[in-house]
Amino acid sequence: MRILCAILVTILSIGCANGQGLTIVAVGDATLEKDKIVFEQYQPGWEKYTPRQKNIAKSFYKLLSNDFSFYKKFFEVVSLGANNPEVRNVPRYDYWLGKQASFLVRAEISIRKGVMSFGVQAYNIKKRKKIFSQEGKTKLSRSRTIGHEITDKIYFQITGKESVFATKITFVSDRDATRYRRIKELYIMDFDGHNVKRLTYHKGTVISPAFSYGAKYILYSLITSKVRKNRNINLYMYDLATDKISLISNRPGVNSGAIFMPDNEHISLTLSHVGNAEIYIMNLKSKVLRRLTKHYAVDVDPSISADGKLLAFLSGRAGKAMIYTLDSSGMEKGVIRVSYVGQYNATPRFSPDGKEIVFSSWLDRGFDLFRIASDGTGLSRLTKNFGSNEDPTYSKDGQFIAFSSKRILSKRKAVESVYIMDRDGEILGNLTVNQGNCITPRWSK
Amino acid sequence: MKILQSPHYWDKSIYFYTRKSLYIHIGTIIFLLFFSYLFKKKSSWDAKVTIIESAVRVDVVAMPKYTIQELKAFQEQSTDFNLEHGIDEELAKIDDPEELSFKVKKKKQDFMSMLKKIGNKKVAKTKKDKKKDKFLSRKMRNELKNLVVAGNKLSQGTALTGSGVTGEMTIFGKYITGIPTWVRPNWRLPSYLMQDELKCRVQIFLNINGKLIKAKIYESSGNKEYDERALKAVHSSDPFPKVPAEVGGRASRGEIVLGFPL
Repeated sequence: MRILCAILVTILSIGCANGQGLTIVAVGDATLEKDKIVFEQYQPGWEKYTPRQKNIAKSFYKLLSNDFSFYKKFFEVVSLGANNPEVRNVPRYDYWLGKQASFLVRAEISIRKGVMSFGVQAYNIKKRKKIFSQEGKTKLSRSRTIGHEITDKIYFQITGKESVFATKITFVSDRDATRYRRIKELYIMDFDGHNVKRLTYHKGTVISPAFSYGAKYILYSLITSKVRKNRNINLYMYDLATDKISLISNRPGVNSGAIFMPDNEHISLTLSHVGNAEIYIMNLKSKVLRRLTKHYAVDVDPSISADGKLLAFLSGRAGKAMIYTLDSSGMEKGVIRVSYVGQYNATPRFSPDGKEIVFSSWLDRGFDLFRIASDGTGLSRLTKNFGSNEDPTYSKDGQFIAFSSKRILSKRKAVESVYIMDRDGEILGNLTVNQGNCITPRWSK
Repeated sequence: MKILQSPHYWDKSIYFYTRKSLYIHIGTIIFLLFFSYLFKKKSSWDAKVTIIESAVRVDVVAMPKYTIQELKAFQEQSTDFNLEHGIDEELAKIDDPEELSFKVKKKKQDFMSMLKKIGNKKVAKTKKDKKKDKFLSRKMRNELKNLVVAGNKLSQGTALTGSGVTGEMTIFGKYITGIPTWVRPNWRLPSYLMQDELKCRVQIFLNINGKLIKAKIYESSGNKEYDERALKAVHSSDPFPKVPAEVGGRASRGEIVLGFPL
């Protein structure tokens, strides 16, 4: 009996003690602490290099640290300029720990007879181990490409995620236009604005480029410069491996705004052959169409989420250009209006994770960029007092947004360039310099 | 029988029943028409009500004025004001408008301007009014801070409170919901720890002034560095906001547990 009472009292007292209870408060996600990453170099025979060789060697070494400086939120980049033969020795971990370095990247570069030999190693200082090593030889013309591949691999070893270093950006420019021939052609460049290369020579006006997943093809539309009775906007596809161009759609009217679906076998595009601009899905091989929108208002500019289920588009069905989403499995299925404000909204683009949509909106004197969740909540402003900003495109990892920005230089002159910012609107700089008016950038996936 | 066989009889019956039938049919049609009219009217009313009920309610009425970068900068500035610990004397001085007036050389005034000055002279404020003004300026400052950052917050409330709603719990709940905002600026992780989706919980003991008496790991993440960084975030956040007197006992008994992240 006594034992039973004791047990009962114990249980009651525990109950009373827990009656008030602990209150758990979630502090939430941590902010990222920057990792200090140090770059060292060694170039044996530097004194014997020609000026061109010196430039290439410098450029390669600078590329390694410059790439990581894009991720300034994650990394504090320290680039040591001195030619340090210690690069060949095992790193002094204690020394670097004292300097609060998290990672060390060493590059040994030598150039001889038009060939660059390189050796790059990366070390995790806190864990005291080598995390990356690559040696090889390359032609001088490919040194930047190899450099980006190396930094991409190092980034992956550090963070476990893919970077933007090996990605490309395609854009439209009037760089080669003359006073008598106003043309806009398709170009491609590295993510950092280097290696600009012209792709098309249509002598017309190229619009709405879009990469395929894996960046093997580029879709684009073309307005020819020839004056015809029924001027058409046709859809073409550029093969980056073979440089071949193929005609995809030349239905009467508009064939534009095309994007690849995640399976790379279908595309979504705007067609107006039925008399009104509507959005369709087309099978690339069979050219069979499946209609997605059916409304008397104009429906254009599709953008697909990463899983291919949700499609964002621009529509005038509310009386003004607003952003909508729909279920891509059916016609007018699950249409939801996402934006309710703004005088004129344009170019909605899904983030790679499908959770956000970035778009441009007209405000008073020009366009600015905004970001909204795909369910219409959390409207945020990204740009302000920075010219007129349009055509946003997310990077592959969702950390950056490239866009075109127009600067008014005088009453008669304005310049448009491609700029890059992080996803929270911090402008990192412009990618195109002296490349004419550059518009509609699209980041490879 | 003969009557039945008479043609006149049948003529009269047919005529009678036909007439009756006609009246009944016409009456039924009129009744149905009237009834359907009533029903249609009612359903159209219902339709109107449905349309009104289905109107979309929109909270955002304009495009945001401030960019994310501007809001971040504003939030960083506003945390410097640390109103929980009282206004600095410097700030109190600035609030006093007389302090802001510049010393101006007094010129000789004519009679008319002197009269105007006397007429425009404000009545001296009483002590009560002065206290109200001080309160208002602090309140207005808070409201302004909240107004600017409101609408751009993407996160929802993070506090998990116990069951039941009593007067004391509400005060306690209000206090603890402010703690994550206090601690979060000090909660930092390197990239290699961010990816592992670790979780730990730290129990904190606070005195009535918000001073941290003790902090200990309540639930470990399994990673020593992660736990150490969570403890460091707690110690860096010391002192915490003042604890309301009604719930001071609960804070000192360690009833607050901070989850990193949950």
